[in-house]
Amino acid sequence: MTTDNKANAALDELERESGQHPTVGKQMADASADDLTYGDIVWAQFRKNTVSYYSLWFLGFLFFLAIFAPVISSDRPFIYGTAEGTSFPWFTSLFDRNFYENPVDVFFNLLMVAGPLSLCGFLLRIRNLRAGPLAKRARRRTMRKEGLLIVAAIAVSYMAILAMPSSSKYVIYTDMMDKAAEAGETVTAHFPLSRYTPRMTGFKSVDKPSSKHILGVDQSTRDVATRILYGTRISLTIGVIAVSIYVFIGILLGATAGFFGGRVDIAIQRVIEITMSVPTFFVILTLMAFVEQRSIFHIMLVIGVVRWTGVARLVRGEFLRLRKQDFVTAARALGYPSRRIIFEHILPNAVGPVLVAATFGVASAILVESTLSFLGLGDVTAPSWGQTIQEGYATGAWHLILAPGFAIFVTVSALNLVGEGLRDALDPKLRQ
Amino acid sequence: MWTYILKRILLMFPTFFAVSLIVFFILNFAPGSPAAVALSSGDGNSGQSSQLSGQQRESYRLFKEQFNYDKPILFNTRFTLGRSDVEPTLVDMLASAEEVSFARQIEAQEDIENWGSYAVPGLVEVLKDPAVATNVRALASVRLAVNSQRSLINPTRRRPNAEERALNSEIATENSEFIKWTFGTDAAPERVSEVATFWDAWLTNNEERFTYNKASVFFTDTRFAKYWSNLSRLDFGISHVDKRPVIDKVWKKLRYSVTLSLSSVLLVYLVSVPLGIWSSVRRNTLADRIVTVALFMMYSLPSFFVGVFLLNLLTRGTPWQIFPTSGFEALNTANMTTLDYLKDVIWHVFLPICTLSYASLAVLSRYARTGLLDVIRADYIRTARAKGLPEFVVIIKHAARNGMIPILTLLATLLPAMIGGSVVVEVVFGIPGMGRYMFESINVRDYNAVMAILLISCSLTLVGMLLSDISYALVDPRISFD
Amino acid sequence: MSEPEVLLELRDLQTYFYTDIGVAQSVDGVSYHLRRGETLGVVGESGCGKSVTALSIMGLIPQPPGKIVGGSILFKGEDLTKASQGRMRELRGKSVSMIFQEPMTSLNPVYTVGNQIIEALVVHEPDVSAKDARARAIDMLNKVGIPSAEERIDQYPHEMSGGMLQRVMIAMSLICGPELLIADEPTTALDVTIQAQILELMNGLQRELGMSVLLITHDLGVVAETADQVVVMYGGRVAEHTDVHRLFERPAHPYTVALFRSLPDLSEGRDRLPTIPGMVPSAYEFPTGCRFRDRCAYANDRCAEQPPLVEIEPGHRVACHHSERLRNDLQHRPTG
Repeated sequence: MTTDNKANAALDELERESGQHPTVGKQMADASADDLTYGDIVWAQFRKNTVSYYSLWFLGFLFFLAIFAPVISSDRPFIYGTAEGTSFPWFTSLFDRNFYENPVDVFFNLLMVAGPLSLCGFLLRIRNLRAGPLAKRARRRTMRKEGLLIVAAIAVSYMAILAMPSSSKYVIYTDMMDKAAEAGETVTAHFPLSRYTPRMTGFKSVDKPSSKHILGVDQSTRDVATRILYGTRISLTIGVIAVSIYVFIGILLGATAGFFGGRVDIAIQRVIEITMSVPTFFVILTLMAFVEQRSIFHIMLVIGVVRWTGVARLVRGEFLRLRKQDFVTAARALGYPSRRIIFEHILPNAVGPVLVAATFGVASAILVESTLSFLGLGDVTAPSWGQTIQEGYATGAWHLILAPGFAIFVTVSALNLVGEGLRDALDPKLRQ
Repeated sequence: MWTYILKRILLMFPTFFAVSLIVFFILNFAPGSPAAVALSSGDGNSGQSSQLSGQQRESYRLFKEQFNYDKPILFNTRFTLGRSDVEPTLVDMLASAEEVSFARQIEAQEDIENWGSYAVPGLVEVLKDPAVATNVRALASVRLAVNSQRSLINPTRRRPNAEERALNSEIATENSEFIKWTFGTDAAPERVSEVATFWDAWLTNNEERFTYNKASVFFTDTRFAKYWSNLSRLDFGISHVDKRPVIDKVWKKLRYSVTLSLSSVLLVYLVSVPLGIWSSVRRNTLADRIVTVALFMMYSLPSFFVGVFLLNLLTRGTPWQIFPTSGFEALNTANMTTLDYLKDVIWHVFLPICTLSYASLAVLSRYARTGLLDVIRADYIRTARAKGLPEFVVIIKHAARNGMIPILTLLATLLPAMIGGSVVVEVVFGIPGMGRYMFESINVRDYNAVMAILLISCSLTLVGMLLSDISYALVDPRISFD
Repeated sequence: MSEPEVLLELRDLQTYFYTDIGVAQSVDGVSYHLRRGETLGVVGESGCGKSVTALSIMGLIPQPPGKIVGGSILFKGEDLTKASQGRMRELRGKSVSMIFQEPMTSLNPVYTVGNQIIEALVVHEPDVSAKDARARAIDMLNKVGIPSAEERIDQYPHEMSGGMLQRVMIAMSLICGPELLIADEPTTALDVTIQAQILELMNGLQRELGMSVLLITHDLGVVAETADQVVVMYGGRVAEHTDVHRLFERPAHPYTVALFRSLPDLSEGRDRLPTIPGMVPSAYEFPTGCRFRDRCAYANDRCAEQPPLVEIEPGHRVACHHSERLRNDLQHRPTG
């Protein structure tokens, strides 16, 4: 037999034995049957970046602080027992209009109540689902549906609570306790860790940090530590909502420009250019100055309306790139309407960079909001970090400068780290 | 290439026009309209216009006239005003509180004031008609005396010339005459008819003043048109704070801001490019990691915090006092030599420039680093080495030139960021620049100033973008201009 | 006839890459030599280490992951593995030049073609005047067959086609008159017709300048046209080294034979194109012993020991235990 025929014979035998074409690689043969979505892959990559992963946990911790702030610091005791009977002022005043200081507080108090409940609900539900090859999909589907239900429930309750009239008078429990002590009555009360609220005044102005006020007192005689704690609510809310607004606008306009091209694209590009040609901070300042009663909602709206151009450009670029790809042509060949192609085919692919930009955007929005408060153009009633720094600037007191500065630094750093981790996780060239 | 530059410059005008349009609309339709604010703050009263004394009313009217607030915003249809519009207005003004709402009374007052000379024919008709109530006719005569007045010629930025002065004295004489031809509610009928006849005759004699070219009036005698005609002459109006032209004030403050911004941009590029190169060459060494972390931390701090921190640390004696607490220059600069002046200014602006530039420095250094890292892996770098070039030539001549290209595009975003960031820095460090002026104007609702600053910063941004594009095209020969 | 002197000799060269996922033994005991005026073709599949060998010669292996861990590279008697960075820089471009696979990205896009050619000259001959340098550059461009060289010299790389850029690369590498030109897959990225032109150009220049060429390629056709001697590499080692005629007529290594067999032959009708079973092993996971044994029809237990590179006849070296048997089989194969 010649070498040629020998080699051919060897080939044939190998194939008969293994049942596969012998040049098929080992990797393909034992490809695992994991049901991995794109999101799973990105999440796995993200987790490998320890710094970003822990930053995400830290952000979670910040949210936790924001939501459970009243548990840590409130002037209403959990339990208040007098000779007449026991009451639970902390619980009853959670949604009472006279007691909450800001509509944002209502939202977070709602989350405080709804959060643990829905979490338990989720875990119970998930445990009931069978495990198996498609378990993940089923789990995800139920999570999505029920998550939407919960979000809707929260939204509805939020509006209901805002509309509710007040039920009881505003009472200062510490005063009541003092009076009762003078009168010789016995009173039992269990307060949270700290008895201050962000608006509580009456302490020594610009007092240095001490055992009574761990971060000192500000110029308007309010406890600084409590203000910083509650300030997380303000900052996180503004960050998330402002970014949501402008991501929404940006995606809408960017997708329209990128997908339809032509004159629509040119028109939207002109709008983007015009919006970008004025320094955004000036515009924000001007718009904030027009509002008579500034509230954080105005801040969110103004930031949202001014900063959408970055996201729009990003989305437009992605759409221009993805529009030419074959899966779009295939979808069109199948006769899908444009709306479906945009939202269900192209957009999920374009979402990656937008998410990265959104994360950095939250950091940037927090910086803008604190700058506005510093300049006095923010919400005066909200315990914003920038406002405290402004008092530090006026008085020269170090604790008023460093404490909120550190808070801002730590929050923004965490967000930036998460954003960078996300960006690296999405980069196919860095995949391991 | 020149055609490209020309095209870009031409494109700047429509953009600028669009921005001015938007600024105009925001400032006119937004709540807290300047006129209402001027009523409450500029004149020191709390806005009950019907209770203003005659003199206050007059200064309010002049204020409106000067700022064109008496004109309609977009289109002027006042040439159609006649008796049917004027008479109900007068009646409402005189009505008692039960018959007509207070808001309507104010509105009527404002209307008759704002209509100005357009209302004159209608007023004359009301005055002439004996069937109309006397008090109404009396009011008509009073209004006529005011509404028929012509304003003096008062060019904004120069003194009137001889011809104009002559005309002004004529106008002044005529205006002062009008006061005589009014009467009160208790006037005798002869007086009434005397006044009526005068006005009737006067109107007939001055017919041509009250015949209008309708189309021209429709478009041009409006706030918008006046805004635009002023703009084209670079007349940004008068600040209501000190009644001086806004453009002069902004111009003076511009030099401080431009000094700050340009120095910052220069500093940023001078530091971040070498830093980026060094960082990429020494990547992943301990020094590089420290620098990366430090830059990252810088990026996460708000500029006002850094400014306040530096201010407190280095200027107030807690614990050090190296730099001055505020200002751009010392007070007695007139006697300084140029070198001393330079040193003094540097001593003053060192901290502000640091505060203004650190964030951009952090960003640009990282871009320089990643840009260079990408370039170093390129094929042509391998070729350069294969030719036997020394390593530093490879890095500086071949790698850096390519790696810096993306940074030049950042110039377009850097300049507006600097201009915007200057607000905080100038406020914190007390530098009398454009940013701080913007902040102050916003607080006192000096809308002319705000508008002027917005438009000027818009122009600066557009110029910055153009420079960035041009420099990008100069550096990268692959960019062609079509 | 005395043979021309040996210009370049590699002795047992070993270049490894140390990475996070392991050590890649890209070049693991490579020995061959190149004489003056000779064209040596180095053939092999992707990943066999031929390019890494070339980069090792030039001293262009990126030092953090890569390292020459053993062996020597003798250029005119001088051991390049022991040469300093400065010495290597002197040699690069002047005595030993290299051209690469992708001409479109191998030139710096922001400088003119002329700038880069003149740069190559001025680095090694700093006393050359600007006028002379430019004249020599134009002359070189003419030599490599670029029309209107006086205008082309001031053009940017993006204004020229791939074939022209490769000519520019050749001009740039030859302007100092090197004794050895290393060409790493110079025609792979070009159209077939351009390929032929470039090869012809290189042949002509080689004859004219009397230089040696180390031509790296995976294309046996290119080797057949241009090479005098051929080295076949597999798995970071030399499989066979002989002159081109003998290689095609009497190959002695199973890998070489398999390579030839996988070339489609239109005269024979066949249902399936023969392939070499299996895949090229990754440089991180080379098998012990002969690297080809997992895919070789002749492999047996003896192949667990790396076969040494022996000279089975003058000027013909093979690294295989079974080369005798192979040659017998080939001699007796039926013709027709």
